[in-house]
Amino acid sequence: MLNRRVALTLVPLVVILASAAPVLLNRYWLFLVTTLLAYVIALIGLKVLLGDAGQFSLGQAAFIGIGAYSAAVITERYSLALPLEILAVMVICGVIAAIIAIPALRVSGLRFALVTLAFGELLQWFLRENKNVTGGEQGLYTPPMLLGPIDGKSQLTLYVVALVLALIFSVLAWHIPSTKVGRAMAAIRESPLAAESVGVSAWRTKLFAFVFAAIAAGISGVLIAHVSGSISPTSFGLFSSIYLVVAIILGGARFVFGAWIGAIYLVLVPALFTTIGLDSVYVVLSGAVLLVVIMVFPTGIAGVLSRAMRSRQNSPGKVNA
Amino acid sequence: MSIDSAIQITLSGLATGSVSALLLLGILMIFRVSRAVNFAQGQLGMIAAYVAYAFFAAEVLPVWLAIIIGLALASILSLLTDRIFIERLASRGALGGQDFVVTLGVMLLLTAAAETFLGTQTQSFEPLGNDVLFEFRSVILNANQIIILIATVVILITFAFFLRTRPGVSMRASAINPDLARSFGVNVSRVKAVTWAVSGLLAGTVGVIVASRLSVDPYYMTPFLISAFVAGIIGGLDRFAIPILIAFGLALYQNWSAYLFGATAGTASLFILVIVLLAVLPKRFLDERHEARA
Repeated sequence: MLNRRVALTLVPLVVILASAAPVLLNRYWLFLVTTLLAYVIALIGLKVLLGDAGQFSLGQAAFIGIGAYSAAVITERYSLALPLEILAVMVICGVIAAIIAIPALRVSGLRFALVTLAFGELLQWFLRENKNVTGGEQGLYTPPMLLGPIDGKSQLTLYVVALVLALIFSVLAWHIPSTKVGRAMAAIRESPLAAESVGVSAWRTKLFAFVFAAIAAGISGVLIAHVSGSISPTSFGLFSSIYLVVAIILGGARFVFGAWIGAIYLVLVPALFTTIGLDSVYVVLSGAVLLVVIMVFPTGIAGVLSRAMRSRQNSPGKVNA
Repeated sequence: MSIDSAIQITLSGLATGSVSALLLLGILMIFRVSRAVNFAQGQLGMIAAYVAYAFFAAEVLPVWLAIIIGLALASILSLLTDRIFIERLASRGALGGQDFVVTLGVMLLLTAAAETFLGTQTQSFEPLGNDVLFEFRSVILNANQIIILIATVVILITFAFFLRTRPGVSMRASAINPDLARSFGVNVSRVKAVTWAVSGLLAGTVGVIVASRLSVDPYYMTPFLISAFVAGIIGGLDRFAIPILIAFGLALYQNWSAYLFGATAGTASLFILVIVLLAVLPKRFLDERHEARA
C-alpha cells in the first residue's frame, strides 16, 4: 500500500488534474475519461475481491452488465433520478451477488472462478433471449441520467458524478484493509484454515468481498450505460471479465492505485493507439505487455511504483534500503 | 421418439464430448506436470486451424501439408509457453496464480494475433469427412464424427497404457515429487517440455477437427474450452479418468437438453447444472474439506 505521505501528495495532484480535465479536454476525451472512471470503480471492486480476499472471479463484467441494463430499464421505464437509480442498482447487484454466493462461496479457487463464469454465461444467455426487455443481440439505447433540475444530458455533469463516485470507492477500498473485515480478508487469503481456527468466518468475509465487488461493478455499469448511450451483451461477456482480471493484476491487485492503472490500460491505452492510427498493433501488444509485466513485476505496476517510492524515501542515511 | 433418434442424439453427443475430452486431456497433462492451468489450450487449436487455412486457402500448400504445419506450430507454441514463462515462474518458487495470468496472456495474444494477421471474418474450413455420410437404419453419422470417436478412444486407451510405462511413470513422478524424481535420474525439465509439446499437438488436432465441423474465426474454440474446463474443474484437475468421463457426460447432457428444450437451452442448461452441482454436492466430492496443505 502506498503510504500516507505519498497519498498526501498524490490526492491533491489527482484533484487538480481532475478539475482541470474538463477544461482541457474535448468531448471525445471527456467521454474517455468518464469511461475510465467507471472502470476504476469496477476494478476497485475486483481489487477488494481478488487482491484483498484472494478470490478469482470471472464474472465481474457480468455485474457491470446487470448494472448497465438495470440503469437503462430504470431510467427509461420508471424515470428514477440518479441517486435512486444507483440505490436500486446497488440493491439489485447486492441481492444477485448474495444468491450467487450460495453455490460460489462453498468452493474456492478454480471452482469459485467456474461458478462466476457460469453465472456470466447465464446472464449472456438471458440478455440474448429476452429481446423485449434487453433488446437481444442488438442491445438497448440508454437514456441520459435524470438529475432533477440539473442537466443529465451534459457530459460534464456525468464526468463529475463519475469522479466523485470513483474517489469515494478509492477511499473506501483504501480503508478496508485496516478494518476488521479487511484483516479477516487478509487472513482468509493467506490461509483459510488458520483464519477459521482463530474464529474468522470465511463465509461472511468472502460474502462481504463478493457483494462489495458486485455493487462496485453495478455502479460502474450505471455510469457506462449513461456515458456510452447504448449497450449490448458482448461488452459484458467472458472476454470482458478476463480483461478486467488482467487489468487489475497488471495494475497491481494489492493496491487501490492499481485499479487506476488498470483502468488506464483498459480505456486510455487503446484510445491512444487508435489516435495514432495503430489500433491493430495494440491488440497484439496488450497481450505481450501483460506477459512481460507479469514476468518482470509479479506485484503489478503499482507494486513496482510503491516499492520505488518507499526505497527513495528510505535511502538517505540507510545502506541498501 | 424412436430408438433411432435416441441413438442419433447420444452418438452425436459423444462425438462432441470427445472433442472436449481431447482438449481436456491436454489441460490435465499440463496441470499434472507443471501445476499450471492452461487457458491457452483452446486458442492453440484455433491458431493451428487458422494457419492451416491460411496456407491452403492461398493455394500454396496441399491441405494435408498445411494441416501438419498448423499442428507443428501449435505444438511449438505450447512448448514455448512452458520454456519462456511457466518453467521460469516455477523455478522462482511456487506458482501463486501467476500461471493463470500467463496462460490468459498467451490466450489473449493468440486471439489478437489471429484477429490482426488473419482477420475476424468467419472462414469455411475443409470438410475433412463432414460431407461423407453413413446411414444405419435412420441414424446418420458423418465420417468426421466417426473418425473423432475412434481417434479419441484410441488416444485415451494409449494414454492410459502410457501412464503405466517407464516414461509414463517418470511423468507422474516428476509431477508428484520433482526432487525425488531427479535423484532417480529423471530429466524433469525434459518431461515437462515433452508434455507441453504433446498437449499442444492435441490442442491443434482438436482445433482442426472442430474447424472442419464448424468454421474458423478467432473465437470458435471458446465454447469447447469452457466445456473442457467445466468438466476438469468439477472432476478435479489432478485426476484423469473422472474429468474425462464428466466431459462426455456433460456433452450428452447438453445434447439431450438441446433436443428436449430447444437449441438455445443447451448452453443455459450446462451452466445451470454447474451452479446446481456445486451448490448441492457434498464437500467431500469437491475436495473442499479444510485440510492443512503445504
